[in-house]
Amino acid sequence: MKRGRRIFDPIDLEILWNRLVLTVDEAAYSIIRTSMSKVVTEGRDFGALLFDPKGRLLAADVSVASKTGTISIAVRELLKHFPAESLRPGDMVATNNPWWIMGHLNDIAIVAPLFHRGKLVGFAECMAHMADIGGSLSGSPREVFEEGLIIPPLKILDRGRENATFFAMLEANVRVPRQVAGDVRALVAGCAVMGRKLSEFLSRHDLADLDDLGATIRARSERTMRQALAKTIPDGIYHGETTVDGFDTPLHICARVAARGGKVAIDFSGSSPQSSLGINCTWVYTNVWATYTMKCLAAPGLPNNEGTFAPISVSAPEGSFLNPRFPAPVKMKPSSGHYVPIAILNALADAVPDRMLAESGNKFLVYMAGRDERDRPYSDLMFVMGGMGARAGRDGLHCMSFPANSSSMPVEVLEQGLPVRVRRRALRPDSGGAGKYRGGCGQIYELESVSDQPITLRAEHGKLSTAPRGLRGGLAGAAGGLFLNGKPVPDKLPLRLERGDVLRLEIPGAGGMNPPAGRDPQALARDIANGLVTREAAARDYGHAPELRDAAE
Amino acid sequence: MRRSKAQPTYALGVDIGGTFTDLVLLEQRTGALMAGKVLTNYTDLAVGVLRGVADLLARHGVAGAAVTKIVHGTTLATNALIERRGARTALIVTRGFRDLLEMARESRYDIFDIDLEIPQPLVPRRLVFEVTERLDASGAVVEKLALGEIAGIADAVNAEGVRSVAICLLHSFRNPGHELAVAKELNRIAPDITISLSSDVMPDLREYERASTTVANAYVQPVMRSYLDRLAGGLATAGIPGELMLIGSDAGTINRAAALRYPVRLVESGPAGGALAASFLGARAGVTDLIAFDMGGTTAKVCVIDGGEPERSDQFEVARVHRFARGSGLPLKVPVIEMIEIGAGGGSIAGMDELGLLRVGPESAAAAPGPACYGLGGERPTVSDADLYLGYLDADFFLGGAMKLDRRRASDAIQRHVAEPLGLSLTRAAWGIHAVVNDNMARAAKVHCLERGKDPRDYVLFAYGGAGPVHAGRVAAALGIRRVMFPQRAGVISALGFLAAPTAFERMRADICLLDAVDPDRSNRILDQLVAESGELVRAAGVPPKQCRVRREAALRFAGQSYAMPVTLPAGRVTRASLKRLHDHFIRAYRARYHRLNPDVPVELVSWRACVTGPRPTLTIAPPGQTMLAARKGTRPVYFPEAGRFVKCPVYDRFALKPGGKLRGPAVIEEPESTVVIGPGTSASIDRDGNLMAVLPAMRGVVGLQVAA
Repeated sequence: MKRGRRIFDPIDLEILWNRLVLTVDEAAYSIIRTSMSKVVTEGRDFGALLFDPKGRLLAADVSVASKTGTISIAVRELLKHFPAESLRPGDMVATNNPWWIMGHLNDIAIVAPLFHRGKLVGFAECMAHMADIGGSLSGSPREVFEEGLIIPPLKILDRGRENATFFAMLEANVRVPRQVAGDVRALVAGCAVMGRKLSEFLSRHDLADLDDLGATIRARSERTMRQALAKTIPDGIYHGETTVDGFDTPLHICARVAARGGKVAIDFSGSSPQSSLGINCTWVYTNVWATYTMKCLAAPGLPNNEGTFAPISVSAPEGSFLNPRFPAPVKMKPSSGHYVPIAILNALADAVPDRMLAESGNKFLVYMAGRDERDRPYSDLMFVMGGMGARAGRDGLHCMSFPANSSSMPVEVLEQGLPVRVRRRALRPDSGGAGKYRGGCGQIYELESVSDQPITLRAEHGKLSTAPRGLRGGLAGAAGGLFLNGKPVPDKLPLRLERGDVLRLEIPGAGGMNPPAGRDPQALARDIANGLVTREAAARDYGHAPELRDAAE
Repeated sequence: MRRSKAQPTYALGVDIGGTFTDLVLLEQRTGALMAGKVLTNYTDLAVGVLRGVADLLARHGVAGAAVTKIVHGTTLATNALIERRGARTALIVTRGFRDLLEMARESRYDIFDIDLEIPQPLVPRRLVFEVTERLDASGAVVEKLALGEIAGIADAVNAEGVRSVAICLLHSFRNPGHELAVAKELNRIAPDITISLSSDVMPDLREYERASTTVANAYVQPVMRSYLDRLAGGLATAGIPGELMLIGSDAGTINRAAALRYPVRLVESGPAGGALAASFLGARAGVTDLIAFDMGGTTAKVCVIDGGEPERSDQFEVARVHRFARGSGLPLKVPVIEMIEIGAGGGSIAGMDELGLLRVGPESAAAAPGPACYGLGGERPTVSDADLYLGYLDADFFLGGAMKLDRRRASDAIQRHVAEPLGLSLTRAAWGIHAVVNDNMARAAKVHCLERGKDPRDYVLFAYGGAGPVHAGRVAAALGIRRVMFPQRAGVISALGFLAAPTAFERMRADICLLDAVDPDRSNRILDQLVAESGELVRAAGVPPKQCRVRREAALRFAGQSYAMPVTLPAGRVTRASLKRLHDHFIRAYRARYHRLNPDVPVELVSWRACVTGPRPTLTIAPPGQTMLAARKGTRPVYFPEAGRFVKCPVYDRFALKPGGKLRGPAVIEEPESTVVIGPGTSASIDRDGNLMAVLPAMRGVVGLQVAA
C-alpha cells in the first residue's frame, strides 16, 4: 500500500528522533557490557550506527562509544557485494577493509540488514577496535597484506547460523583468539539488539519503514548544519597546514577550506604523497576528522547523520598519504589522521573568533603483545594523552584525548593484566604553551618490563619532533620524545623490552592562545604555585613570575 | 529501645533538601503521621534543623523526651563538595604519581564540545605529596616505604594550614601496610590532622576513582564533624533521648561515629529516602518490583526496586560541571542506591532548538525567576506552565492555595516561545511540552534499565515529588508500564522513608583472581574480616548481634571484561564446592542479563563484599480517610489527547478518599503538595494505606503523537 509522505510536526519529530537514537544506544550498551577487551570497555573504542536501506547514516549512538563521529561507507560498499535483495533476516556481514571503515585492519565492522514485517528497513553497523588482528609486530609493513588478516566482505551469520569457517580463520590468525572472537560476537549481539529494538520502534509508532522519518531527519539536519556553517565561517577560501613526523621525512598536510553560503569544501591537494610505511590515512578516515572538525566549530550539538555532514565535502588527491591507493600500509593511521583537524583549525584560526583550539599534543598509542608467565598470549592497546590546546577564552586541558576520544588505562588495571610496571605518570611542567590562555600540559610516562619473556611493544605518536603550535600569538607547547633506557628511539617502530628495560614516553603539551602578556597574573601565579609553570619559564615567556595573592586559592 | 505502653513514643525523620527541610514525626504505636516543611537554613544547617524539630514538636504538643528515634539525611556532604566548602585537604600518593587527580581518566565527556570544562580536583597540585614506596599488583613490596619522608610532608602540610589528609598508594587495596605506616607516622608528628586511608575508605581497584573517593572523604570530614557535634548537642539540649542516626547513600542508617569516619558515605543520602519509602510502602501494598519516579522542580530521579530491594551501585558522580553529563563530575566509589538524575522538572524551560524542534530542559527556571505562571519575573514557558494551561494544575490550589498561579502568563509564554516559532496551536504546543518532557524522562529511565538488563514493563511505577504524580501516568505509558502507585504525602515521602531504613553497613575489598585459582582459606579470611568490620559498626549502633543479617557477595566477570556482576555467595564457608556453585550462579545470572555467554573464557573474581544489616523497622501507618468530607471538589476543563480536546474533568480531594474507594480516569486528585492526574481509561482504587493504585488501559498505537496524514 503506497501512502503519501508523512509529515511530522516538531513535537512528534523530537520524540520519534530521540527514540530512534535510543535504539542505537541500546546496541552500544550491549557491546560495552559484553566485550572482552580493555580497548573497548575502558578505552571505549567502538561504535554503533544505523543506516537507511541505501546506506545513508540515520543515527549514531550518543556518548557511549568514542567512534561517534564515524562516517562509515561500509554499508554502501557491502551492498555492491551483497545486493539488498539477496539479504535475509539473520544475515550479518563482516569486513575490516581500511578503505571503508576506520582506516586500519584492527577495526572490524559487522553489518546486519534490518527487517520489519519482511521488509528491509535499514542496516545496523557495529564496529570495534580489535585487540589484535595478526600481522607483523617485528618489522614495519610495506603493504596492507603484512598488517594482519584482511576480511573480505563475507557473511559471518547466514540466517542466524554462525559461519564456523570464518571464526576458525579469524581465530587462527590473531594472537588472542578468544578475545577477538568474543569481541566479534559482542558486535553481532549489538546488531541483533539494534534490529530487535528498531522493529519494536516501528511497530509502536505504526511506521512501515524509516523512509519518511529518515528523509525528514536528513533534511532538517542538513538545513541546520548549513545555517550554522554560514553563521560560523565567513565566505572565503582559507589555507592552513601542518606537518607530521612520518618515518624518514616529515609529511605535510595542506588544507584548503572553501566556504560559501553554508557549504564547505575541504581539499588536501598539496599534501605529501603516500608513504611506503603504514602512516597512510585512507580517505574515509581523512573525511572523519575533517567533518568532525567542522562540526565542533559550527554545530557541536547536532545529532550525527548523513544530513548533518552533507554540506561538507572532503577531497584529497588519490595517491597522497591522506588518500592512499590499495595496498598501501595503513596500520598507523592515527599518526596522520589525528592531525587533519590541526591543519583545518590553522586555516580558520582568524576567520572563526569564538570557537577555536590551538594545536594539541595528541596521544601515544601503545601496543603490547607477548606471553605471560603462564605462557598465555596477551595483546592489548592503551592510550597515553598529551595536552589539549588552549581555547578561545579558556586554558587548554592537561592530558586530554583530542581529537580522538578515549580513556587512559588505570595503572592498577594495567599492572593487573600485563607484566609491566609503571614507574611514573606525571604532568610535564612548562609543556603547555604560554599564552593569554595556556595550552594543556603533556605528561611523562615510564614503563618497565617485569617479564622474563620479551614484550613486543610499539608506541605510535605521529608528531613528537615538532612542537604543537600556538595560535593568535600564543606560544608553542613542548615537543615530545620516546626513550628506551634513556636513549631516544623513533616511535612507530616495534621495540623489544626485556626484563628491566624502561621505556619513557614524553607526550607533547599543547599550544597557547593569544600573546602571553595578556594572561591574568593570578592565573599565572596559580600555575607557578602548582608547579605547572616554573619561575624561569614564567620569566622567559610571560616576563614576570607573580606570587599567589590568596594562598587558599 | 524501651517503649512504655502508657506514654506514646515517636520516630523523627529529617530530610534536608535543596529548598526545603522536610520533617515527619511518626507516633510509633498508632502510626499517626505529622509532617512539617521549613525552608532550609543555609547559613547554619544545624540551627535550621533544630528549629524545625522544635516547631514540629511544639505544634503537636510532643515532648522531646518522647522522641526515641531520629533518622537524618543531609545534603551537607554533597553541598560541601559542590560548593567547595570542605576543609583544606592534602593527598599523599606513591612517588611518580603526583598527578593522579589532575590527570583523571584523560577523557572528554563530550567529544564535540571543544570548550568543555572539567571538575577541578579537590586538592590542588601543590598539596599533593609523593612518598617513596611501591607495591606490585599482588600487593608485594617492590620498593620499601621511605618513612623518613613523612616528617617533611607533615611540615609542608602544617605550613599550608591543611586540616585533613588523604592517603592513596598504588595497589593498597591488596596490602594496606604502607598506607597504615604512613598514617601512623603522620599522626605521630601531626596528631590534629584527620586522616583518610584509601585502603579503609574504599579498597577497590582503579587508583583515580579510589583516590577521588578518599580525598572527598577527607575533604568533608572536618565539616561533618562540626555539624554533627552541634546537631547532637542541640538535640540533647532539647531533651531528645534517641540516638542520632544518619542515612547513608546506600539507604542504611549508621551512627554518628561511623558517619564521622566515612562521611563520604553520606553523599546523596536524600534521594535514598524516596527509594526506601517506595520499597516500604510498596511491600505493604504487596508490590515489590517498582520503579521509583521522583519529579521535582528542577530534576527527576529514577530508581529501580527489585524484590523490595532498591538497586545498588558501587559508584556515582558528584559535583558535575555539566549537571547531566556523565563523566563531568568527581567519581565516588561508595555503595549507593542506584539512581539517575534527569534534567526534567516543573521548572524545565521549553523552546525551539537549532533543529527547529521542541526542546524541553535541561535548563530550568528553578525557583527564581520561576515558571511564567508564578508571576515572579519568569518569561519563558516551563513544564509547570504547560501543566497549568492543560488543566492538570489548579491556579488556585497550588501548594494548597498558598501560591496563586497565573494561567494567562503561562499561555502567553507558551504562545510566544513555542506555538508561534513552531507554527503550532497553543494547545498543541502546551501538550507538546508536557509530552516531550515525559518522553525525556521515559527514555532516560529506559536507558537506566537497559544498562542493567532490565525491562521496565515488569515494574510498577511509584510516583512522588511535587510534579511526579502529574506526569507519572504518561511516563508509565511511554515505558510500557501499566500499573502506577501514587502514595499519599508525596511531598515529604523521603523523610518518611528514612524511618523505614535498617541500620546497615557494607565493606568491600578488591581481590582479583581467576575463580578456579581462588584460595578458599584466603577468601574466608577476607570475608570474615569484612563481616567483622561491618558488623562492628552495626552493633555499635545498638543492634543486637542476633538480629544482624549478613549478605556476602562476590563480584565476578569473564576474564578481560571491565564490568563485574555481583553474585550472592552461598551460605557457609567458602570451599571448592561453593566456588563451583558461585561460578554456576554467575553463568546463570549473566545469561539472564545478556542472553549470551563467552564460552571458553574463564570467570574472574574481582572483589568481595559483605553487608551487615539490622532488622527492618516495623512501622505502623494509620489508615487515611478518617474524616468524612466530600471527596469530589468539582470539575474543571482538562486537556486529554485521547479526547483531542479539553473535557470536563472531575477533581477530587486526596485526603477525603477512603480506602476501598474506586475512581475512573479522566480525573484529577489534589493534595497540598502534589496533584495526581489519571487519563481516560485508567482505573484506580485506594488501598488501606491511602495509596492510589492506578491501572492504565492496555496500550495500542501511539500515545501522545499526532501525526498529520
